[in-house]
Amino acid sequence: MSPLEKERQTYKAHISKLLEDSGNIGKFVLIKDDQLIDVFDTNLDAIKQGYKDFGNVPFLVKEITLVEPTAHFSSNLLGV
Amino acid sequence: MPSFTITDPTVQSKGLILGMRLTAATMTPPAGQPQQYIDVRAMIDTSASLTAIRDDIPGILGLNPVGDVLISTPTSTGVQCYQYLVNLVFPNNTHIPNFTVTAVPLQGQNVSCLIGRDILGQGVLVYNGYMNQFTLSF
Repeated sequence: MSPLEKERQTYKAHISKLLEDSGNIGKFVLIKDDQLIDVFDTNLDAIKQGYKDFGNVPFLVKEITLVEPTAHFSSNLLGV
Repeated sequence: MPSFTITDPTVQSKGLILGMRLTAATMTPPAGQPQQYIDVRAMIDTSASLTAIRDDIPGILGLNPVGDVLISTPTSTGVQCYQYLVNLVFPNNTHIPNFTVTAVPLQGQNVSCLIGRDILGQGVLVYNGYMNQFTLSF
């Protein structure tokens, strides 16, 4: 299983519930394994808490959004 | 306003290239005995929405992913990539601490880092073409 696979599944399992509260939209959720730890105002606040709680191990910080945004790389430098 | 200026006669043909340093983010707890920093060639890429690093660099710095993002390129869409927290040190010792970057395959390229619009959005980029020069200010 690749890093963050379990956390992605946890995110998918909880996203509908998180979106029920419109105040969560645009905030960031911290997830470790199958546990949703908390919701934070900023990406950096969530990462800071992740390092504090778990140390330097993989954890997932993800923005709570209706549609997952895509980052664009228009040049052909990337090997994907 | 901290800034640096690069003058390079190849800027038009090769792009806006600079040397810079990446280090583990200030808040990252140590993991084993990783390398403290890595010096890389970076390119300012106004076509990149996010700043990206070559995908073997997090391992060199002893970093674990703190997130992921879907990326789209001219040939692929919806590719899941890991994100990491790093410090970026530009020429003239201009620092951007605790910044989330995306690890992407850049093997075979002459750069290991793409400076995207997430960083450029924090500053002013001036490209002076006839002087073969560019300046980035934060």
